[in-house]
Amino acid sequence: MKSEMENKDWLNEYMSLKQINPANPFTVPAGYFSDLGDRIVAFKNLDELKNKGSFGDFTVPDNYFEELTGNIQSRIAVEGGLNTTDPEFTVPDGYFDNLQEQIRSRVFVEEALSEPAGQFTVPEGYFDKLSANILDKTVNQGAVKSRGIIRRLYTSTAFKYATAACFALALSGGILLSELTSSVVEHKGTFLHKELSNIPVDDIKSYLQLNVDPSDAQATVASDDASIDDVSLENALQNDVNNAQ
Amino acid sequence: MPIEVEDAEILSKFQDEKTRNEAFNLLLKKYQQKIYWHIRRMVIDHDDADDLVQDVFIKIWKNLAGFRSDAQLYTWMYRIATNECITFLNKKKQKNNVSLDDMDNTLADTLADSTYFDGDKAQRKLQEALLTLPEKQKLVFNMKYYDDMKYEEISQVLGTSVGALKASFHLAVKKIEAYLLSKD
Repeated sequence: MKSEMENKDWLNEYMSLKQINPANPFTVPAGYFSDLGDRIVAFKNLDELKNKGSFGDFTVPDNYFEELTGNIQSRIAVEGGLNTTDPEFTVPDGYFDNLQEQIRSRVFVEEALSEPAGQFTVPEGYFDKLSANILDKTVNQGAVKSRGIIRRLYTSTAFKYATAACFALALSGGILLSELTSSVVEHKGTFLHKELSNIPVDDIKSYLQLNVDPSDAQATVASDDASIDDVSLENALQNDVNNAQ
Repeated sequence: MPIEVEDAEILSKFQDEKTRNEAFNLLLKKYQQKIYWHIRRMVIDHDDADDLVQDVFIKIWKNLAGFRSDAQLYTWMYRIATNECITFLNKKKQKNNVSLDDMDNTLADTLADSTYFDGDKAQRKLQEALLTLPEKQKLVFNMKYYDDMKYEEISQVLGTSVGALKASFHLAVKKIEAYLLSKD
């Protein structure tokens, strides 16, 4: 009690302070203290695991943590040295910002180019013969064409048909020509044939039955002393006709 | 709710490996709030206090086996918590590259923005006044004003003589009073 009074009596000398509510003005989130103990225990267990040097199956090399501080400091020193601005070595603005994207794009393009083009291929030796083919179609085009024309004429279908047509024409012409020069044709073109053609057949039969002896023709012709050539015969027959009229 | 278990029982159980975890759970239930508030009044921010209280109890777990009973258990834990707070605040100063005065301003800003402060205007002013004090004076005042600790107990925590602590405390109170009056 006395000590308690000792603890509080001093306030009587400080009225401003005495007037202030001595209750704790600070607060905590709702339920904070209810689980604080559990959280501290969990934190303690975690700390113990860390201090054991392994975490389940995870270990670190010997003396890792002893050397870690020095390694970090060395790394800081190295990176600090790299970060110093060197007027001789600079990069364009934003270079490192875009570098990763550029590398990715480049890798993609090169992979695409290196892939075998399964859809687009060329025959074997194509590019070796390509120059010669181009030249043949441009500079050497005339020589190539003329040789080609001759060969093509001989082997073309049109040429074959033309040849056959000419052969048929020649054959027909020959046949026609032979017919035109034959005796039958000649006879049909004579005067006697033409005159007899105008006389009806029945009249010719009647005349022959009445007037003609099979042996008379030769005798008639023989009696007149006419030659038996065609011209003489024709003249004799013409005279007979004139006499009969 | 803190439980009423004797420190001797906790220490006894802790010595046995089979009951060590049980002893630690008992320790947590008994002292976690006291240690938390002690830290919280120093660092102001709840999240910082949450981190530190876990670190403190990890240290307690690691060193409790070597605890000598010539000091009280809770003053020993208070000492660990106090040292952790001072280390934390010094690191924060270095990290933010601020001076000691600017660190007080930083904590004042934290107090102003804190969601977990439910005090009235006067209580806020008191906290602001405390932030103007050197760390050891602030510690003495907090342990005396909020925790009702005896000078002898505070001496065990801070490793300072009772006389020096009394002087430090009265100096702190005067500064606070002057601050409160100046801001009226």
